[in-house]
Amino acid sequence: MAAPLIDNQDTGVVGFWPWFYQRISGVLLIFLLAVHIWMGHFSGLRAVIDGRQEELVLYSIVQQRLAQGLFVFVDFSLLALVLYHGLNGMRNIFLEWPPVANRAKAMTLGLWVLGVATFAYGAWALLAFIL
Amino acid sequence: MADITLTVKRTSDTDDASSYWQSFTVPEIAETMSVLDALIWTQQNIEPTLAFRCACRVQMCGTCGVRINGREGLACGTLVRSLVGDRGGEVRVEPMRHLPVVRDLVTDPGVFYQRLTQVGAAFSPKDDAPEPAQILPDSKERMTINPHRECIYCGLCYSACSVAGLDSGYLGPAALNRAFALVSDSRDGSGKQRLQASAGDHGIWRCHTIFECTAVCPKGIPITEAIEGLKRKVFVSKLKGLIGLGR
Repeated sequence: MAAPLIDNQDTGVVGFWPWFYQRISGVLLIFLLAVHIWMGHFSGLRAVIDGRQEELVLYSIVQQRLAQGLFVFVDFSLLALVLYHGLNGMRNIFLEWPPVANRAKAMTLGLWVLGVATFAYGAWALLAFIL
Repeated sequence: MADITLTVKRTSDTDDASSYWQSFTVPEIAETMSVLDALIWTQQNIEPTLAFRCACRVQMCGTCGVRINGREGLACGTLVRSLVGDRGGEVRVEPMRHLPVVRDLVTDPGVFYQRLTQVGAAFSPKDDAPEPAQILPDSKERMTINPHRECIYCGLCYSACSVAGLDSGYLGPAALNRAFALVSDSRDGSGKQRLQASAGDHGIWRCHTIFECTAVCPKGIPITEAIEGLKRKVFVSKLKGLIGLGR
């Protein structure tokens, strides 16, 4: 039986897992963004129509909501997923550019550092409402 | 019928820097005149050193693949009239991309065939396959495989693929299409190896689903669908591996 030559190994640079996580994070983002946009901008619609609230988005309500456990989870998840999805997408674009693709590991590490730093900055902003 | 201007990208050796465009005035002999007819007329009447490949002249062999007005096509299967209408005009012909140019419109398809060997383009039956092995014509399996068996290995998809231009090791649409046809065939005994070969750093994950390969395929093969099919098969295989069913 003639087996195919296997000189095209998956070393993880452009492999299954980045592709798979990109799709998973994309699907989750659609759901979480819908929750985020609805809760952030439209959840007060009934109150505005009934005249119980003057404006659709009030800082005090946003502040209260962000201190609740469920929304803390939603917002932290959203932050992490947006960063992963965006930076992994950028990584895919960079991998098409030979000068950077030849240093794929260093580029990936750089994007991870950027992602973790941005997450920490975003978390710091969110924690202000919780602590 | 008006004359056409046939502009050909000419290269005297493998150095692309030496290439230049040369125009020839060619009479449109018939409404059914193809780009290959125009090239042959030019070679026989104006420029005997003009180099190009052809064989069957009826879109069966895939030998005369070139880029015509910036888009991949078989010279024998592209009518001049479809490009310039009935008032004449310019037809620009250049060699396929991502393959070394030997001379003028002749490219060296070695890399393209090498990619096919990397996924094991030959059918390898299972050791315990009963004879004669059959896949019924109206079965789902046959319907899945059939469109992908029509490949004539012309290389147009490889030339049209942007990823093949960016990653010189990329397996390319034709090889991945062949891998899909064989992996989908229950009689084939090398499915795992083919999937593994297709899913490496230069394989299916590189594809950006741009559909250029499908758009230029002279046989209408849904090549992008094959690549997506391979991705699904690798996903299922990984999933089975994770829950312990893959062994």
